[in-house]
Amino acid sequence: MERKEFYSKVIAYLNDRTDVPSDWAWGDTDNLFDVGIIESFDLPDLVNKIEEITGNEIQVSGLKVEHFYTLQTMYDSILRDMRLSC
Amino acid sequence: MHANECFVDFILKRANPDDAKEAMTFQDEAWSYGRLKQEIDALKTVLVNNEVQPGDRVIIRMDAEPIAIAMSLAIMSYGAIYVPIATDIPNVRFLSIIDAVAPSLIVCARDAAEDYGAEECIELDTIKLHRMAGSPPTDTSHNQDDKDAYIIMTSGTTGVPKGITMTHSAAIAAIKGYHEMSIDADNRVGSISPLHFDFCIFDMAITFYFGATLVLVPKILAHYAKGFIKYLNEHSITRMHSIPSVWRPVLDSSDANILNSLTTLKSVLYAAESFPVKDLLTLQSKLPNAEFVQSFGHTESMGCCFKKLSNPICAHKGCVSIGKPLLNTEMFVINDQGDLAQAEEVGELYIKGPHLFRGYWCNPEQTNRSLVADPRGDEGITFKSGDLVFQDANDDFYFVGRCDHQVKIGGNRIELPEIDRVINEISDVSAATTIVNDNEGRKTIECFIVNKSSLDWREFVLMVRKNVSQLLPRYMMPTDFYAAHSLPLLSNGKVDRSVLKDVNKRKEYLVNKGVSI
Repeated sequence: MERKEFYSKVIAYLNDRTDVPSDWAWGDTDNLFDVGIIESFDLPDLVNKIEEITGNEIQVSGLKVEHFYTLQTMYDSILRDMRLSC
Repeated sequence: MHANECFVDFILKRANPDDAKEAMTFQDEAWSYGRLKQEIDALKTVLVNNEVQPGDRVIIRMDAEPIAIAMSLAIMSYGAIYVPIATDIPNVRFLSIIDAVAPSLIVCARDAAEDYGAEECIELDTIKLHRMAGSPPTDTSHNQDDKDAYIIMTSGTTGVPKGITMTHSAAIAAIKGYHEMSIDADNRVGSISPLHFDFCIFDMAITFYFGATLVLVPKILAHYAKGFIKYLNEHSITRMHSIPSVWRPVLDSSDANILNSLTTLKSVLYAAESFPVKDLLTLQSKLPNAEFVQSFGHTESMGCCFKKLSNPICAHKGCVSIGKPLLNTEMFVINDQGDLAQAEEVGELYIKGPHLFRGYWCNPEQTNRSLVADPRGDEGITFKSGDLVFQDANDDFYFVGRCDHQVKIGGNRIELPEIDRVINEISDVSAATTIVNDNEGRKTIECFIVNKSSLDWREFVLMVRKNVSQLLPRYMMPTDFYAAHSLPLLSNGKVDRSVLKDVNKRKEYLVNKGVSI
């Protein structure tokens, strides 16, 4: 999956789930935890959503909370591990 | 017990350097007891080579993995004081902890980018050592024969984290107190607590003490039900130790049969917060053959009681029993009049025993407020816990709440006034306060703010969140923010949180009757 497509699907999901201002500028390196877009208790849903978007199971080995901090870390870490496992 | 007995020697007394028995495992890495002892010895040499002196504080800021566990044991075995710190706290807070404990060494993962102004950084396999400057002051307000083993930093009302200091003899007494728990050596104990929880020290100590195997579970799996169950099976975990909220994603999973695939788990131990009764009953119904154990206590004593629960549990007055005191522990309840409470009467819990902490690091005032003379007039010091409890006719204890504004969320101890203080210092905030919303045992922090900025409310909340995230750990971030015209006050001028906890009463104070964000 291309980076751009992944970002837009995750952003669409987060827009649905959170009350960010309509003109919120989604930066790929913004820490989504720090601005409250992802609370730690939302992580289970996000994990499921990423599996749904990519059609792959997230690899447990080496997975860290930090991988979910930004759109960029999600793509670079989680999708890389998925590709490696295929 | 000798006052100078070492906690590490005590918990590893069954292990020897040739012991091939598996001591701990993490993902694909397994260490035998023999290797663990060898690594501890090697790491003690590293401490010596880096001029760490006995009594010095050594911070570990890493996730729980074998090298971090071995380093923590090496620090305590060497006679230095182990200070575990969360990896994800804001740098400002971490620097305030450095100021408070003045470490001579900070140990991090090798890929950690933070710079602490160290004199020198040394990379060593998977870890990085930051050698800190100067010879820091030591807390000398105690008996030097009983050395300090570790300091756990926790939320403090004044804005500076409190350092709960445990001695070697207190830690040994706590583990001895759990002797009745008796874990067979063939057990594989799952531990998901981060290093900075004393629950992690408990898991490590109780597992090694009984010669069992510690299986470190990656913390991310607390958010990933499928991965969590898979890991438990792959590593043949027989006992899972965790805070209750670790089970929440599993209980909330859309796969109703997710727990059916658990094949090896025989026992669930939880601690550090109450298990919502409804959730506990659901988990018990899905694991009908598993033993459930509740351990209860404070970082100030590691633990004070535990209870093997019936399956299903029998709640009494809506509460689950926390059991009876550990070996050599006394627990009693003092009512509002300062007398011993009668059965079923709620009062404050006091704890007495050899496993009590030594004090708050370099904070004698706070120590003197918590470690007090026995209110019954007997000799000795007691820990005034701040917990509200009652005892039933069978002398079982039940936890009902707190005397103060301390709360436990996700196993983290939080002083709400500390959050209030940070938010009230933001220039566009006229007044703010926080409460805990308890939805059938699932707790979140709600914040009420009187806003004097011209920003749109949503932008304003993002600004507040950003400010809070720079000063406080993530677990202290409020989940919901409410705009208020004013805050309800008590006659003494303090905020009346009870009004804000009542969804009907609080409406008159809220803008738009309380639309949260």
